[in-house]
Amino acid sequence: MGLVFVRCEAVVQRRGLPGRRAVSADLFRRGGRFILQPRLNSSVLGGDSWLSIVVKRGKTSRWCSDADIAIRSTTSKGKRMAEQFYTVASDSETTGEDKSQLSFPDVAIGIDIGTSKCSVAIWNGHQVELLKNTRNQKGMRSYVMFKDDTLSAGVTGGAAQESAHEERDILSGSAIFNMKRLIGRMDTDEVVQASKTLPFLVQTLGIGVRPFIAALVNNMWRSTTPEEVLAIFLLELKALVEMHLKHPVRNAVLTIPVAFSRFQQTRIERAFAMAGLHVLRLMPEPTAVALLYAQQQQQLMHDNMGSGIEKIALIFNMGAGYSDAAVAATAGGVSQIRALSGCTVGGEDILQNIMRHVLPNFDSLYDGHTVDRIKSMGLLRIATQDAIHKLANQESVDINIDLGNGQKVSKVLDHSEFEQVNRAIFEKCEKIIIQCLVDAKLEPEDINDVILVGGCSKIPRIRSLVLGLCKKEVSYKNIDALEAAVSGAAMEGAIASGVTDPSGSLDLLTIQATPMNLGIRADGNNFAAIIPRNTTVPARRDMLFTTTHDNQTEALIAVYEGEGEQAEDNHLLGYFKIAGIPPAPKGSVEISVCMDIDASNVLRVFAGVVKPQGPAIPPFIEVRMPTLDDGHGWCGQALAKMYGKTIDLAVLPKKLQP
Amino acid sequence: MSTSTFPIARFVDCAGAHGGRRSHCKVQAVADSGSVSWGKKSDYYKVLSLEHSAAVGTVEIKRAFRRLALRYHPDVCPPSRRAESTELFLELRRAYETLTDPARRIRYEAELRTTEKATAADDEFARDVWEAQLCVLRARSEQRRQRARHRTGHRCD
Repeated sequence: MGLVFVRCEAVVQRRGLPGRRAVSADLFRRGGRFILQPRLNSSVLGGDSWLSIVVKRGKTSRWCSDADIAIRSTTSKGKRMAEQFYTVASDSETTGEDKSQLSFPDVAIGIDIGTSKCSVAIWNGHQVELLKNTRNQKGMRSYVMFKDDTLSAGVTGGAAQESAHEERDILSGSAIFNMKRLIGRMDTDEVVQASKTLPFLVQTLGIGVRPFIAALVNNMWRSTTPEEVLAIFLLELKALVEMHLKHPVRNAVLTIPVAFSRFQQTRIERAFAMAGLHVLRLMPEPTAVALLYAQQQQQLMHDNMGSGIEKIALIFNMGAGYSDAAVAATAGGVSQIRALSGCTVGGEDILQNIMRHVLPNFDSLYDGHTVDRIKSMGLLRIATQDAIHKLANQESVDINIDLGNGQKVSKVLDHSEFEQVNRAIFEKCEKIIIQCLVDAKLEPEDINDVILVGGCSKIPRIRSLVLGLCKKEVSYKNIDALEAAVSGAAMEGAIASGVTDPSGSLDLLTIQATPMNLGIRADGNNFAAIIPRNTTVPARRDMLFTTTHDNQTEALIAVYEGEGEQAEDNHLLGYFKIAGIPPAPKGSVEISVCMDIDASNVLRVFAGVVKPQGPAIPPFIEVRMPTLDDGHGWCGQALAKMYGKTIDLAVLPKKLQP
Repeated sequence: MSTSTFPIARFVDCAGAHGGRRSHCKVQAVADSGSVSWGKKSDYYKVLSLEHSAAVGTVEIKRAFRRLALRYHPDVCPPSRRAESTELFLELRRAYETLTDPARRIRYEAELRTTEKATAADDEFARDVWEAQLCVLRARSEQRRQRARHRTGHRCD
């Protein structure tokens, strides 16, 4: 391959030292790779890392964001600089996205899409900045309104000017919200079942396919999907950011709940793609908070010249749709996620519980979704929400509403009643925190700080519960409960885009962990975890399996994700078959199944026969997961019906792993 | 008879597992990554750039891990080097996890000492030989025990 020689400017920095400088260099191509060679007079040292390279050609300039780290510094210290070569990202090796000519630094934005509210933040060059919409809100309601032919999302607030009016509009059946709870879920899912009491239409058949979702437009139900709703919302959000930044936005870092399955993650990514956004990274919400905490600790250390000892934080995040807990160990700007756990309980469940409590015939009232019933439900919802908010600051609250049709609700709700009604929810929260501590092998005394974030962290019972479990008097104060996750995401966006800060406030790293067990079905209906939860990412683990029948020539690899002991209790991610196993007595064949999560959080499963060996053995199979699209609830059953136990696998009794 | 077949089977199985693993991580060999050898069976202390001694405490190990993670974690490396840095980081993590777990550290150190004693030029070969020998010994003692049990059984009759 020929050499293409281009003069360029590169920005370099020594790791650990503030300040970045531009040096001139020559960029040329050799064998499909770009080689960057600093010019003789430029003072580039062996330990320098490249932050960015700007190649100028006439008026256009190309920006390589991720060109980092001196890679091939073959010279010893005393030799001349001219001999140093640096390999930088070549066209074919970068993300594979279209490489449009960019004249601006494409820094990924941070997005936190909440079940109820959404926020977006950017790194403005010095710090994280949360963007406000035209109504001066940082937290924008997550919904999309369907009206005639026009769609409007909660970013701008649609047509409604007053928030009280807006809320009534949202609950009129014409708006779709709570898409974060519905996305990527089957109609057998209990979260979907619970969503049937929402003002818009959620129809289920209970057979393991995606639910039917529709909004009321001109007295007709117009069907849509959670992905579509999310994409419409994101388009408006993107427009808001672009208006602020005055240049197009392409990349985003998104926070997601810990309880999100890999299937749900692909759905979210699809929605982003529909809106023209590339998801650079998905961060579990508490880990974004942990990153913010790591930065603050790093800053403190710089200010006080402290010793930089490890600090351990327990982060509890409870929003409207999900609860997450995480334990993170932080020192020197590195935030190590020790344990993660999450569940699908949130403010929405508390709200529904209270609505059921104040109106015992709640469920029967919502059958049919007629217009006046939707209206009265909307009234009840607003009043209940209001009451819950008030209860955070007062002892008891009166709920007095006229639902129409002669139905009236009049009730006094106090703390003990509120706690009684929502006991199951608090118990679930307790469970995930305890699990987190156990998984991290920590005692409550080991925790330095307890960080409470999310809208529901304002509920007194939640605060006392988390602090009690961690044996703490007060929670960590320097973090805003509603802005922490999105701030962390924006910071991660800047880091992932190769931005560095002279003050060193972006010299941060999050070492992520897998939130759920990943494994396959084996030994009948059991779930054999190959990558256990809380394994550091990137991860690679393998396990040996064997056949369950004599002369079995085929084996089914059904990949699941989740916490259940039975395979069926978990999310099915995909399946494939190993064929051509040499006939042998059962238990004598060894089949290796290896799971690999790479740096981009992509899960690949490799499987093949490792014993006996020989030319007759079929090659290994590599499968990228999840392979399933919709209707994955059906697949498991269909597989069982079709094959029964004929192509099952069993875990090979373990010898010592090398 | 079984004394000779057993270790071979074990040997083949080990090699098979490794061979399989090597085949599925599609990573170019890191030929020019510098002085540290990132081979499959590298010295965990060297991986973490630590002094070779039991005096190295958990705090130092953690600090070394964090320092190196900031350099080799795929998140801080450019996309073109991702596959490679993933390998480096996996090795780093393996070293860190082994050395911070007291029980695993003791086991690892014992293993390390034995490997050092087997002064073969080829590390890979030495380990396999050692493992094969160990298997032979294990199988022999197992047989001896069985024979002994047989004998005692006969006496009881």
